[in-house]
Amino acid sequence: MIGVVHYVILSALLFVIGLYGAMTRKNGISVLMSVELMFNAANINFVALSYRFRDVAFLAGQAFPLFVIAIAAAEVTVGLAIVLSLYRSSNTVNLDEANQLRG
Amino acid sequence: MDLTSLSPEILLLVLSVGILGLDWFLPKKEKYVIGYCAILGLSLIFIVVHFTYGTRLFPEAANVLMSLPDGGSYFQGFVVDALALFFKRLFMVAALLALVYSLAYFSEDAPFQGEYYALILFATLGCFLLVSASDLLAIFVSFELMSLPLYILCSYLKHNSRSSEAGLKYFLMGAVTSALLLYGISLVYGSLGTTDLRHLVSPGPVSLVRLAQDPVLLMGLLFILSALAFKIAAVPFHMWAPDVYEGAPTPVVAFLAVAPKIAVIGLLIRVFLSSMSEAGLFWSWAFAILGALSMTVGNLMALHQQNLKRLLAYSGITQMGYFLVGLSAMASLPPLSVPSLQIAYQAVLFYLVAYLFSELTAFGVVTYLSAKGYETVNSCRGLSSRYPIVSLVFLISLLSLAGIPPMVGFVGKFYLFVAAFSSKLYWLVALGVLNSVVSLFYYLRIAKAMYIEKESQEVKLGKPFIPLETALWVGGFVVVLIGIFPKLVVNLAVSALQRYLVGF
Repeated sequence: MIGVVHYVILSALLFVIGLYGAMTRKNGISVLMSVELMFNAANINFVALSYRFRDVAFLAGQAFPLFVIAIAAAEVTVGLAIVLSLYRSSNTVNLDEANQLRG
Repeated sequence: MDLTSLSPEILLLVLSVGILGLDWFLPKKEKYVIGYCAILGLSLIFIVVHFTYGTRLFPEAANVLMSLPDGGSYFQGFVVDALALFFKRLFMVAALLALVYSLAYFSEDAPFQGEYYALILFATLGCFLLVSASDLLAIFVSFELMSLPLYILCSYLKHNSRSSEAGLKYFLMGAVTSALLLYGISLVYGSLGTTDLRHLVSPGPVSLVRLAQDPVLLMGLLFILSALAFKIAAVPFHMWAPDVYEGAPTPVVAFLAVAPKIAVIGLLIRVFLSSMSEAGLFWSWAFAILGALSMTVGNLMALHQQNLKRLLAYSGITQMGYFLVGLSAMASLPPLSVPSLQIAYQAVLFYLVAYLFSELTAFGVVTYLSAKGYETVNSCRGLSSRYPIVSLVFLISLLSLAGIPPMVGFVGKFYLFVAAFSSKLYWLVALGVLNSVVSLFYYLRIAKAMYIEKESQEVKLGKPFIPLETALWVGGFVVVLIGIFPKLVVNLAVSALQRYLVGF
């Protein structure tokens, strides 16, 4: 029987994978994808955990991911645009090669 | 539904959308008008909010929660209290100054001016909503509304690879931050079954015992705390700050060094302090460690910086350390000791005002310099002989950041350390004072370059731009004025707190 706990473990795994990817990946696009994983891990958490509660508390958990999905879409749009503008100005999406700012 | 208590937000939204619309209708040669319109509109909103909010429209607004049937909130998500209004005025000042700096920094035929000014206003709207949010959902949405425009603004100089790089770094760090915040919120929701801040902070659920027994709740709150620490660039979450400050356009940096950080401190006051005082000792330690690290590391890194914006980034990290000292003092007090709590709250609110004016004035001068490409400490050499007024204003703001007596920064720091002292955080006070001394070194290095060293290269700043000069004059004047008459701001802070403290 699959219960709430399984979903929470799944979401924790997803979150850790996403965090690891965001910290180690060199490609800007890959980092964006990793961040998406982290967002969706939280979404799974919300929906799964909402089954522990009733009434308004239940609905709060169900409604939260809808907002998050919309915001994540906006976030990716902005992120891709910035990656694209970096590519146009310095011909790379590799974060190691974007190293003009240091000190 | 009573929409009048939302009027600052509605007005600001109308203004920013109006700016976007104006951009459509203006011919290409007259786009520079947009910036002036944004400044005019925002000044009007400031006047409306400042003069009608507390008196005519809402006689009780100065110290009472908006009297809505369900206790002052829309859908349990939005609170209008005096504390939020105090913060909103600060954001408007920050945005106004950033707009003036932008006018001076960008040429009249710069591309995408409508979008630029609208985005600054949208980010301000995000800050407004963030300090009024009383639901975790509202907090998350307004946190994003505050951050997304700033990512775009940082990479605004499209053909400048440094600006794009700064934007990308800020974006990636910010996106991870948002994900941390969101995951933390999901854990807190899973543990408590509510996203309403009032349930979360009312004495009871988040006591020390509960935190020790419920690792999910503890982890959720720690995630939220670290996300907020990212946003204010507290050590060890500060890596993005120097790069972003250096690469992004200077007026944008001026805004993002002040408004989002103030908003997040407002949020910290709401989430972690207002009534979580049962677990206060735990948070006090968390803030104290973050603060001690930020002060020390920020200072040590600032010592050998050559780039002015980078130096100010590290100095900003240090300033956040001082705030965290104040927050730590607040959190360590038991909930019923109202007089000492009031001292601590006042200290933090006062230092917010001090930081706002000192930092923005310093960035105003840096905007002036960097508009012509001068960004290093060396390029300040001999500045005083050619530009005495600019140098004087720069000196005043730097001395204020360092905490030298006649300036407002000194009074602010004094209050903060007194608050920490009365909360028995002696080691933190000692560390803070020591760090203030160390920080003098790098602030005075700039002063020495301006006043003592001889000119090595010919610095040409172009002809003076009246709005910027006025803003610098006013900024420098305010820094000294509040420093000499701190009562002006203390009274404001007290009236912002009255109702808040009775709630304990």
